[in-house]
Amino acid sequence: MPFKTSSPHAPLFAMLTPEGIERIHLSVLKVLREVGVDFPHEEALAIFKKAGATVEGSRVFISEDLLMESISKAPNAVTFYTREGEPSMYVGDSETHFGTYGTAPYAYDPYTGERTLATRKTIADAARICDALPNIEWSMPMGVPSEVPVSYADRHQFYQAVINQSKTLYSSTYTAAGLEDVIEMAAVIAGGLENLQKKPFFTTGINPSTPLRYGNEVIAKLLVVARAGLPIVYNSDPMTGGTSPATLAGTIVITVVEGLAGAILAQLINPGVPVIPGGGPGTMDMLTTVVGLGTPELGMMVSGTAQMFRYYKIPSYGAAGASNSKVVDLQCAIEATNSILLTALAGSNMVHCIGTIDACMTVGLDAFVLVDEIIATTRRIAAGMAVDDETLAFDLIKKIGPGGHFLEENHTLKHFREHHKSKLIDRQNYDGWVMSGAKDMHDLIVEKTHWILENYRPKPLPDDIAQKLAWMMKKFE
Amino acid sequence: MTDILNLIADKLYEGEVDTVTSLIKDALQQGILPEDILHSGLMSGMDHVGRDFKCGDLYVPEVLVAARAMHAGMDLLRPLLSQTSAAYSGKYVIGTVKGDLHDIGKSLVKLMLEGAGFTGIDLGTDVTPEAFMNAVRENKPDIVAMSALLTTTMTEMKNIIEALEDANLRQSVKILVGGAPVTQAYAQEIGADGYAPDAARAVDVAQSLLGNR
Repeated sequence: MPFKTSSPHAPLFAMLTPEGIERIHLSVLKVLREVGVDFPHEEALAIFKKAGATVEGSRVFISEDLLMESISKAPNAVTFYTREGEPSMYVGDSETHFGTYGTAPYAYDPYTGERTLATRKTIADAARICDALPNIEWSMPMGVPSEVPVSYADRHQFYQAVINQSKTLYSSTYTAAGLEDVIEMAAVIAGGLENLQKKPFFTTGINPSTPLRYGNEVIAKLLVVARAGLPIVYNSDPMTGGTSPATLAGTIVITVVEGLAGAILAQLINPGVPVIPGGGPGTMDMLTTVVGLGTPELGMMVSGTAQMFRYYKIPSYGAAGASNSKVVDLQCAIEATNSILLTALAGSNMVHCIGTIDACMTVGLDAFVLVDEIIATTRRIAAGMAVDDETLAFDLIKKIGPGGHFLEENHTLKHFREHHKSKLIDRQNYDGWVMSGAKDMHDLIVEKTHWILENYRPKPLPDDIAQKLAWMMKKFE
Repeated sequence: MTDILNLIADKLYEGEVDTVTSLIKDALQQGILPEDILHSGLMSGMDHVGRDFKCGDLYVPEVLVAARAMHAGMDLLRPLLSQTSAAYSGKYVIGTVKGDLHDIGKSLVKLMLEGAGFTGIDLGTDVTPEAFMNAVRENKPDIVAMSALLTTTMTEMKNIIEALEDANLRQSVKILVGGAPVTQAYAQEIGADGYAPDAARAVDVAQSLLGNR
């Protein structure tokens, strides 16, 4: 469901001024040229060297020419598909698509609230919840299954998610071998790697070890996914004052440099492969040293990062809708709303982390139901308003005149459903609210969560594919 | 026969006035009894509207166009129905009390009542106790419905009830009150028979006061 292609009236919010963009760009060039980025991987270093980059040890220094030439080959938009091969998201321009997060070690039981280690069931339940919620457009396998061998956890994560939902899937992997296995399974679903390339329903994340460094295994994964010709997401997670400067502009520079350096390598390996750099620049909380994901600064930095990648004409990855609250509460709602609204208005393209609580440590299913509602309200705002003869309604105003009412007019009937409405938002007066059970929003969210768990059935995979995947999973038990 | 009646119910639900009236004419030509058209067509469609409205799938403007289709259908059927079988939910007199010019809530209750088959008189806004009293005397309604938006004007409701008592008219009607500042407790305190927090529930309360449901 696009945010903006459907609305020519969408407002676009700019966190950075044109001067700010230019200064960040100049600083990015200086860091690439004078500071460099570490790529501790023989093959990657050879590729950079061959392309004319200066390589010292595992450090790569990149010139403006190499940067501009490489990223000019990257597509300025990526279209993703559903598991069934239907177009699902146009990731580019100032379109925004919200998705979830992955790899939380713990989960809350949706009925008792008990916090336990995550299992395959955590992933399956979360996948079904997100499949059922219309405003969550893509998702990740949520939860690290604690009951399977840790070296195979990434295969189980992909499998449990992909059999329980149809939406575009970002599946984290831990090793190059894990990524190869997951791509093989995704290709089975798509009917071959070529089909998967043409209609990608699957992507994965290449995460730098901030600041300015990619790990050896991560680079190996980058090589695998670039050669497979699938879209690549770069997810930088700097923490202000910890792994990046305490300032927002300096942290945007780190995020952009890491993303661009990774994107250049992908273009050198497979020119034209889609890249989506960015990430979730957070703040380090200087009382606890925990990463702040619900902070106002996160939304500000993601908005600025989106502007920077639009400047480079490549789509951006972002983060929003996350909270440090341990449960779905007021803090959670405030933190998620701020960043979802901000990043949608700023046009960050592929935004992850929605429904995160406990800074990605615990899966809470009710959080997804909450953020689905927040995104619905945001959609309404981000679509803007049309101003034309129809919406100005002069003839109608003239017809009704002073003191009349508009309730019974066809114009009202035609347009009132454009307004945001929700069964989770109570707008009754006091007595009406008491008569309907005096439930607060969290009560309604929990009811909806339970309803989905008990009633929603995702589209099944075709039998032959389901059997083949199950057979492929046998070696990972 | 059930096909065309179901179609009438569906088209009423969709608020298609012209289609509903032409289907009713077709049904009459096919020899279907007006009573059956009323109950299995119009009323059945309106029940569906009411159910979906209560669970939040349908909204006020949609209920109002469905009600408009209901009226158009009733205009055709009324002359053909015997007195006993006519859809007669009850008669109301409605108004916003003296000193208060707020119209929309009162109008909404009126439209919803009519959608449920009530008929009656709208006295408008800024209605004096005397005007309420005269209307009751002349029209002999089952329900007197009053609305107020202001805390300063809602006290007028009490004056109206007292005026009806003084004129020995109180026992002949049920009194329904509503409006933003009005509560169940206030309704009891001033001796009203019913209170509803919103227009949809006003219909339920009106029907239960008259023992219709």
